[in-house]
Amino acid sequence: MKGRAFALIGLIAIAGCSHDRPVDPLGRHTVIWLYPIDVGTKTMTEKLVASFERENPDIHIDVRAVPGSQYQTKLKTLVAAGEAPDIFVCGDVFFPYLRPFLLDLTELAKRDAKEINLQDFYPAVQRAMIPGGHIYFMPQWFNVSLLYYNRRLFDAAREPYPTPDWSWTDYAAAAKRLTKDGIWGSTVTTGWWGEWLTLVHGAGGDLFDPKITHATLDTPAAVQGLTFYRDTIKEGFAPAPGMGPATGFASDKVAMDYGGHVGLWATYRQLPKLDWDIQPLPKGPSGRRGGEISLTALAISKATPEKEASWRFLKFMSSTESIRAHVDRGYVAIRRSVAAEHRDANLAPRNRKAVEIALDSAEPIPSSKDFVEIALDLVQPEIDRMLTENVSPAEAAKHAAEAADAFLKATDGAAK
Amino acid sequence: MSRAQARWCWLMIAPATIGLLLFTVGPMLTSLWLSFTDYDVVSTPKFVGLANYKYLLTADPSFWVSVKVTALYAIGSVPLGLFAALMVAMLLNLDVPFRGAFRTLYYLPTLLPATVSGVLWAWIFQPTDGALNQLLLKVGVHGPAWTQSPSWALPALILMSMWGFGGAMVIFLAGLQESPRALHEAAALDGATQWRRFWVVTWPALTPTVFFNLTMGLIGAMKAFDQAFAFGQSNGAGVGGPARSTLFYVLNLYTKAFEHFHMGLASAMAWLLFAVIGLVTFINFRLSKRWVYDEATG
Repeated sequence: MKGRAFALIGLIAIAGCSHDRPVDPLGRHTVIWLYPIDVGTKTMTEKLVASFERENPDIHIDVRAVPGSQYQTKLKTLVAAGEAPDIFVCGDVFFPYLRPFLLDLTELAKRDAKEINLQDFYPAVQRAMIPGGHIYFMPQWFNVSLLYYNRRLFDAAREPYPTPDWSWTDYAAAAKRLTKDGIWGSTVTTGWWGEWLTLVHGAGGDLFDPKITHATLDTPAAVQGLTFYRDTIKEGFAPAPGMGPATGFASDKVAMDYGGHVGLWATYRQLPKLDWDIQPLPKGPSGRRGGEISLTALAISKATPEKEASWRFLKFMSSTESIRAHVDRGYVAIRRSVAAEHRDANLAPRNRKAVEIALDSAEPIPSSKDFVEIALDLVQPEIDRMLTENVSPAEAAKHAAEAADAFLKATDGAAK
Repeated sequence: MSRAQARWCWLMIAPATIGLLLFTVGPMLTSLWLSFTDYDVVSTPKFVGLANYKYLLTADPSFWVSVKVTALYAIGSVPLGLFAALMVAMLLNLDVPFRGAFRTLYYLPTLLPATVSGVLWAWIFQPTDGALNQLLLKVGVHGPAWTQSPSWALPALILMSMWGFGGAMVIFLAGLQESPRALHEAAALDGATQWRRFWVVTWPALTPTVFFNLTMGLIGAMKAFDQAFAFGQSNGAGVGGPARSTLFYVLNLYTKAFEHFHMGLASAMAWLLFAVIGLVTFINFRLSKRWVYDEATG
């Protein structure tokens, strides 16, 4: 009798400690998805979740919305508290930091290879989504740097449209000619690395050495890239920060946007007067275009009690059905088959071939968990100073490299 | 006090004491310990001795900048805010029509969440289409690129801080109403001018209130965070930007703690701030003996 009582207590204790999540009253497995709120994609997301739940009646997706600006904070806090959501957003930007908490999906992807059809993704996307030969996340869309141009403003100035073989010199010369009568030839992307790092790459430089042991922003090539970035303002064909139209390229008063973001395509398409198209970025003096590719993807927590159900949802979110929904919302098709379906769609940008050219030369961001912090908190202030004060590119690069090196040294020395 | 009374006494204060120990003293001591560790929230804290303090004081490029930004903000916003609050309080202390409505109006902005006012002011200060520069343009002045200029972003935040002087104004108003009427009447009978009466009667009686507002204002300025955070998020220059010109100390601390999860560094920053606030308040109290009127000692 006593033994049975102990056994019962033991079983209850084991049940209490178990990580199994009970099914809901409808007998469904619940998968928790930490979702960054985005007004523009809310309807699409709700429809996709509803569609998945219809096709998979044994799974319920519990969507927990968090404001986008607080997403990483919320996610890391939940991970720290041992309450990681089953599924969360993890593109290649935050991958190095989140890697210890991610479920390795490689075996699942091999098992369901036919279904996920990796070959259907663009080769550059495949390279970015399989870091070190393992799959940790499944992408929905990507950003690739492009040259955006306003066809109406080019026509009005009788200026030939940009071509894929443009160099920096061609771009700067056209931008100078287009700058007149309240129209800006180009614009400068401020507040993040999007444009300046692209130009540093284009000049043959980089932010770090390949092993990310020290900063290389102060090398002559990198400084040349920063100088070109600064000179877009100094030479008068791009407005100083804050002095151009508040809505930038969408204002219809800016002829070109260097780098841009594909996430803005949906907005541009809603502006009937904006007649725009794209080209790959001009080549820098090194022959590199220097643009980046970054993936927006979903990953599964290593600690999930619902591995199989989560994986089914991830597969669905990267399926052709989901990618079609993303394309309808304005994103670039991440699957070649979906891109082919939309090739003849009468939608801007017309030159969608430019995306493929840009992808071929796109460079992934440095694979370091400290990259975002170094780029935004240590380098960006020096870049801001270069654009707004009389700080030379060489000086800004020197200060930025020193700060980044001090950080790398300190973090290696355990001050964190 | 009998033993039974003492037991009851301990029993009555126990909930508050336990709460204080668990939720205030406990986290404070934990953060002191964390300030000597390398801790990223998801791994076990690793003891690093004084490395965090050393990095902050000698190598971190943002630490001293944020100290300077906060000091400039305190030097600019506290006297300006106190002056505006005192002036408006004196006006609202007069027997003017709709006095109650005006008092409510001036107090209202303090009730707005700081994030809302941050967004609102970011729009007002927007360089090309913002209300302020549009207004300046009407009188022929080309306003600066407030939110995007490292030289003008902090002055913009100082101007913006005046929007919340309602709290200090209400305290000044209470202080003014405590001003001894008999002395005012006596001074008026002796032929003292308005200015003289203010200087020899109102001001001495008001100095304890000024001291209180000054102390709270300084502490508030050293802990300034929310408006700068909202301002940076909505003006396109990024939090603390441009070029760290609005990187307040607590904003820097927050970024280290909750953006990059350097809890050790952030804890060290919190303890340095605690020490500085303690020191400034101590100096403030010592100096107050020279200028704050004490009714008991004259």
